[in-house]
Order: sequence, then structure tokens, then C-alpha cells
Amino acid sequence: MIAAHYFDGKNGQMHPVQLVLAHGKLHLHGTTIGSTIDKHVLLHQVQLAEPFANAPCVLNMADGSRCEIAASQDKRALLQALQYHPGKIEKLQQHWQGALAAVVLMVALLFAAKQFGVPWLAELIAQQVPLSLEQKLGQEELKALDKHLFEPSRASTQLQQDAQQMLAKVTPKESRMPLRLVFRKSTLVGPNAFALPDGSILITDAMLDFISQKQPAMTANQREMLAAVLAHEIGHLQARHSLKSTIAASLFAAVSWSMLGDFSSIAAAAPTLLLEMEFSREMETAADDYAWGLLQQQGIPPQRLIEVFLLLEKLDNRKVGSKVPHWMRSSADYLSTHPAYRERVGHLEQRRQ
Amino acid sequence: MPAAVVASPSPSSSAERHEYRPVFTGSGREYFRIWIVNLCLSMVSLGAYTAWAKVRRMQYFYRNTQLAGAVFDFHGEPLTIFKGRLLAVVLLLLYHYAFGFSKIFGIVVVVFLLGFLPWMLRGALRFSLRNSSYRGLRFDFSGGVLDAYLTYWPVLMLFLLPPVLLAIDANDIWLAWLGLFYFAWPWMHGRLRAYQHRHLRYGTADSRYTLAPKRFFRPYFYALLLGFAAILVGGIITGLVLVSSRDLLGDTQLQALLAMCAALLFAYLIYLFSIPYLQARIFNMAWNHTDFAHLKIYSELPAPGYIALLAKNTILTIFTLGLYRPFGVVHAWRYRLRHMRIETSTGFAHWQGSGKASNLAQAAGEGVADAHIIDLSW
Repeated sequence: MIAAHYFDGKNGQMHPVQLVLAHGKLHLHGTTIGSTIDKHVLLHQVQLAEPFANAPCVLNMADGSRCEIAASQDKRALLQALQYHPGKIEKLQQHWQGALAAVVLMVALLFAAKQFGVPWLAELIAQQVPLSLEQKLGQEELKALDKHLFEPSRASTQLQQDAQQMLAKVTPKESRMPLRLVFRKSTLVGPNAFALPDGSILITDAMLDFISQKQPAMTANQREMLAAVLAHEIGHLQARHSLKSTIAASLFAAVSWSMLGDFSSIAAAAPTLLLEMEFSREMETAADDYAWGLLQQQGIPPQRLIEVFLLLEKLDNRKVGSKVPHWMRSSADYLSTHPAYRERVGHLEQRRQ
Repeated sequence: MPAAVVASPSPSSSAERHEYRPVFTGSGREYFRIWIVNLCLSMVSLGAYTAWAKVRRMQYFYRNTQLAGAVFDFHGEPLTIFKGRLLAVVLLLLYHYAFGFSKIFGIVVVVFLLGFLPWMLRGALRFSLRNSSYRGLRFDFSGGVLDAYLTYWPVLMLFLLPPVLLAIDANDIWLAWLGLFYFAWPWMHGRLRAYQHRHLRYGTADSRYTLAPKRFFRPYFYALLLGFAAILVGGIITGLVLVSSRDLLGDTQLQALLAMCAALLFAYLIYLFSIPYLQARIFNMAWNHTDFAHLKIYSELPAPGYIALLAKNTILTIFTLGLYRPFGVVHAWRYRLRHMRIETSTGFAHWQGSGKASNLAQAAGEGVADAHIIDLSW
């Protein structure tokens, strides 16, 4: 006999009852002031809710009534009478080993998703995006940048011509889209160059001044360094990096939100950010490799790429002092927006050997 | 921990009045195991399992909440919740990329959201409450559709208009006007809470709610003061640090950067102090002004204690990379219950069930509301 509380689902009255389970039937009976419960229910029409350690066991009946069994010995007797076997998930939940295995699996999955899953999926999705959409995105981006960040360029015609020459020299035959140079001036952004998805490569006046060392025209070496920077940006364009990183960022956000939605708050944002940075680091190295190969192919000494990085670093150190780590510097110049350049220089040096 | 027999104390009565205090019988350790396994399954299933995980979580917290010898329960169907979440993901994607395609598309999305969200949010409330029960009687939500639009539109405008204005390159004047509306947020929050609490139903009994929305200004004001106080203290400390280390740091750019880090720290301090304060005050205010015929609800959450508890939860959760979270959630739930009490002059036996079919699917609403836009937990 199992002691329980019975609620008939029609009012809030709590009826103390005794339960008897036999022959596939559940029999409830009990008497309180003014009411007698005597009820027979087929066992397969009774649902046992998932048991928790200290909560009462709950039996839900088809007609909306329910029983709550609170005392430990009654719970044990009930579960035995019902021949209750915990399901796989319930078993996992009851044992520390299950929880531990879950944590390990979780970390492994996160790693796999970051390393393989997201880049592969981003690649797949990027292939579906038509060129026209990329063109449009690039145009919109330039409009927005012109509105908030850039003014028309004041660079001399000579410098601009030098740059155009080098772009022509370094444009590969297999370029996915026509390339063009866009010159802009900005006081906030230092020497910088980046590619827009529609094939425009934006160069700041500060970058031109830096490479030419404020001279009216560039020497052959300087032109080759500019070509190296352009080659790197072309590398991004060929591999559709900006599109892929947008997709990857969305995927990271979607994955961490959907998996952790119930379980985390602000903490979920941090790993997402780190993963994105890691992803962009790989893209930078890929662009470096492409640039190296492209420069060689077009007859320009590829070590100019290393030289221009080192010169940019010297410039940075003069302004801020070398003790400050790069990621802390507030300037938005080439080095601080291109992560881990030191590793990339090391990687490029190896290629040189 | 051995299960106690009916842990809540027998009613202390003075002739007519019975006082009951809710008790939480769950534990952080037990919930951690449930949480971690469900989290893992959710990840493996790329988020699909979260619907089942949510049902289990609600049942764990409800069935471990004991009041006057009986427990609460949650009856939501996982599949229904899952479909709702799919819809939520679609809506989120639409909202996220709305203006990425074209201005027209963006405006269409915003209009669509404005048109449907209030209806869906009301649906979420109905789903949540209709699938909650106590003593075998279901709760319900009786708020009307028109009321939903009147209540939610101001809030949605605050969230949805800024991207629209930015996209159509509106004058800065418009943005300034919009900024003014943010000052009305406490009042809007008060209206949100009123909509939720005024239309509660347990069985056949309707709730009464007597708190005017403008009363929310005071807790917000004090929360802001508290935030400023925290920033003041933090600012003084940072200033002292900067001044004393000026020789080491000669560089003004570096100092500017440290100031930026300090600003982040201050924002975090506000999060640690002002928000729990606000939550505690609003929780108390809302529940103290909610009652049913013959049943009064009292909530006396002490703000300092709640702030300390949530701060401890946050810090421990960060240091354990999130693993402490289930413990924190359990402690917070238990703390809130411990400071509530119910007074009823007639006990619970007389409450009548509504007899309505109990598994109405308001899934669409439930999925969206649960997703991220507005927190409907109460």
C-alpha cells in the first residue's frame, strides 16, 4: 500500500489516498471528510513523470487527475511496482561519470566545430552566393565607409599612378573579377589597405605616404612593396574571405546561441569572439601565401612582403612605444587590424629559405 | 539528502488565515547533472534538443517547488516547443539580415515583426501558463489581443526603430527624439508587467493587480544611483592607480586605453549591482500587488542579499567557465522562494478547475518569446 495525494483535476482539494497496483490496474482509495475516492485506472493509461531525487513522484492520469507520492519509502515502492527502469538519459543524469563524459564530449565537439565544421560550412555557403551579391555588398560597404570614415583622397597624381601601375603588374590572369583601386583619406585610420567584396582595393593616403616615405614618387623597391600589399589583398579577394568571414561569424553566433541559449548569458559572447579572431588569423596566413606565390609569378621579389610588414612595425613602435602589445594600440593601422603579423612574418621567412 | 515527508510547515492559522511558505526541494548537485547532460545533448543535436531540455528544466524546478503539501508541474510538449523555436530562428535571421539586402526588405521585415510579435508574445504567455499547474488545476492567461498590441508596441518600437532610422539615413534629430523615448522605459516596463500580472488565472479565478506602471520609475532611479555610486568608487580607485603609475606609463595613448578598460569595468559593475537591485525590487513590487480572491501573495526579497547572491553566482560562473551556472540558478530560485509567502483565508480545496482542454498549442508564440527578445519568466 502506497500513500499518495490525489487531485481530481476539477478542484484544488487534496485527497490522501492509498495506492494498490496489481494486474495491470491502479486502484486508488481513500476517505476524507465529505468525500470518498475509489478509483480504478488501467496502468497503461497512467503516465509516470520523470522522477527526481527529492520531488514527489507524479502519476498523471488520462482524465487530467494526478497523484503525488512524497515519502521516500512510498516512492521506492511505487517505482518497484511499476517496474520502472530509468531511460538512457535518466541514467546518464544520475551518475557523475555521465556528466563528466558529457563535458569532455562537449569540449571535443566545440573544437571540431571550430576547426572543421564552421570553415567547411562557410565555404559551402559562400559557393552559393552569386557574384552580383558580392558586388552589391561591396558598393554598400564603400558608401557606408565614405559616409562615416573617409574623405576624398589628396594623394598626388604621381603616387596614384604608381599605385595603378603596380596593380596592373600584379593582377593575375585568373582574377575572379575586375580589380580597381580606390584612394581615400582618413585622419582616424593610419596607413591601411583593404579589399572590398566587389573588387575594389581601398588604399589610404597615409599608406601611400608611408611607402613613398613622403617623397613625390616611389622608388622601384617601394613600388614593389606596394605591389606586395596589393597582392595580399588580392589574395583575400580570390578566396572570398570577407564573405566567408561574415558567414562564419553568423555561424559561430548561431551555433553558440542555439546550443547555449538556455544555459548561458554574456559568457557565450567571449568564445565566439575568440573563434572569429582565430578564423581570421588563418585567412590572413592564406592571403600571405597567395601573395607570395603571386609576386613570384609576376616577377616581383616576394620578400617585399616581409619588408613592408617590418617597416610598418617600426612606424608603429615609434608612435606608441614598443612595450605596448599590438592588440592594445588604439590606432587602426595596418598591423593592428591584421592579427598575428609576427607569426606571419616568421611563416613567410620560412618560405623564403 | 533524504526526502522529507511534506516539508512545508503545516498552516499556521489564526482562525481564518492560513499562511504557507513555498519550499524548494531540489539541489545544485542534482541539477548540475541534469544540466550538463542536457547541454551536451543540445550541442550534439545542434540545438534541436533544447526543447526537450527546457521541458525537463521546467519540470525539475516546478516539481521541486512545494507549497502546502503539493507541488507545481509543467506540461508543455517538447515537439510543440521545438516547432516554436524553429520559427524563432527564422525570425531572428530575418531580423539580423533585414537591412543587409535592401532597405525595402528591411522595412518589410520590421513591419512584419511589429505586426506579429505582440500576438506571438501573448501566445507565449498563454502557452507558458496553460502548461503550468498546481494541484491538478491549470493556470491561464486572459490578456486580450488589443491589450497586447498596446502594451508591446512601445517596447518593440524602441528596439526595432533604431536600425530602421539608421538604414533610411534619418536626420540625427529623429535619433535624438528616439533617445528621449528611452527615458520612458521604466513606465513601459511597468506596463509590460501589468499586462502579465493583471490577466493571470488559476483554475477559474482571475488575478487582481494594483500597481500603477509609473511606480517603476523609483526602483530604476535608485538602481541608477547605485550604478553611479559603484562607478564613483571604481573611478576613484582607477584614478589613484593611474596617477601613481604615471611614470611607468608616460604614453597618453596607453592611458587612454586603460581608461577604456576602466569604462568596461564600470559597465560590468553596473551589471553586478544595479541589475540585481532592480530585479529584486521589481519582483517584490509586482508580486506584492498581485492577488486572487481570498489569496494574497507576499514577496520580501531583500535587495542587498539578492545582489550579493547574484554577484557571487556571476563571479563563480566566470571562474568555472560556466560550470557553476546550474548551482547559481538553483540558489537564486531557492532564495526567491524563501522570501515569498502565500496567505489564504480558505485554503486551496475550493479552487475550481476551468475544465478547458489543457494542451492548446500556442507553440509559435512560446518559441519566439523564449528565444531572446523578451524575457517572460516570472
